[in-house]
Amino acid sequence: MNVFTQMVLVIGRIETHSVQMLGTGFLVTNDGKIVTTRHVVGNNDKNLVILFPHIAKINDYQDTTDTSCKPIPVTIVEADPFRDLVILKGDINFTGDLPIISSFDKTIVGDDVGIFGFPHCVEGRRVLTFQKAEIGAKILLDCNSVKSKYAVINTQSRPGQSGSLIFHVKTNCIVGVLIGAFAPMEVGAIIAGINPRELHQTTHCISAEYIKDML
Amino acid sequence: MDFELESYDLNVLKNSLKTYQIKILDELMSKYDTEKAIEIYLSAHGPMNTVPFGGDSSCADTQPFLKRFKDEFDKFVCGHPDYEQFYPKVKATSANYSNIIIASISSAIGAKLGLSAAIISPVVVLSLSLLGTMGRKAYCANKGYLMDSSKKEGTQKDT
Repeated sequence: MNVFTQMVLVIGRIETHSVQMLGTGFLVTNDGKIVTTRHVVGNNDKNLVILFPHIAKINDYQDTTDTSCKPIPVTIVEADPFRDLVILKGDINFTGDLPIISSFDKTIVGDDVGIFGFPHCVEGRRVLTFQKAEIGAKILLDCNSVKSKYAVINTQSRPGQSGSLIFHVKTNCIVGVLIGAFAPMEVGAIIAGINPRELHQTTHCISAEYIKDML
Repeated sequence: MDFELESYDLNVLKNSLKTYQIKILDELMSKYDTEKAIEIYLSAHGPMNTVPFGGDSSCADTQPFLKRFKDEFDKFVCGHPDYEQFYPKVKATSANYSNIIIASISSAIGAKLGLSAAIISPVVVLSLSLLGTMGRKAYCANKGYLMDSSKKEGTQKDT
């Protein structure tokens, strides 16, 4: 489990005197390639950074008052706007063993998956959080007539979790990347900045197999 | 600006792309013509009916990108002075000449539009193949730029 504290990272953008945290990403190669969602980084990599891990062990207490961080510049090296994935590259040399990148093809509905990400990081809270959920369904989602494989996992997500790592408990492989939640595009009432339609226990994750072609 | 590629065939040009990009272009080209594929590629933003949790709002509306991309692509390939600084790189001879052209155009236009080159390189490939169907001179004839550097490259034509 502790390997995830070193490979799951906050993605951010340097502003005048601070770093705006944008979401989650994770290392996929030892030479510093990181995957996250395209919507987390937007269209360009100006001032884009990852934050160096702030804990060594998942069981460590994470000090929420500690706002210090060590940003490492990254650039966008690959982008798939249809699957909402990007590969970033930073000057990072990771010597540990990274989990194998697999696919939702290797899972069955009902299997447990683990999720590592930074919920609420966009609101300034940096807490690497582990969640467990079941695969509720395997689905094909369309983007401009290109269909891709996704899983619905039975958990609710919040801002900051986009780009989270989804691993298959049975095989310890990375099987997906958290993208977002189902919500019809017609905008209804927004209450205190929250769209009530996104408040449900299901989250969409793209199959990790698409990462392999990008490396 | 003076470059000619050996081939403007999409099947040749797309060899400069990564597997995931080639697969997407193949899928789009099996359903649409090149112009429509360019539009679709630039407007892609992940799966429908999915609310993102985090990120940068700068990639919200892509429609302006389509026109701006086309404008900048035309400027580049038709010799506009805005891209003068990028041309010497393109003129370099290399075994991977088309790769250099595609990378140069992608990074130059990307810098202008605030887009990562990785996002637009497949669209550059599609646009070059479109240009190849009519020839660069004919393509640029209606763009208002002069290609011949001896005639003050990139200046507006008198109308």
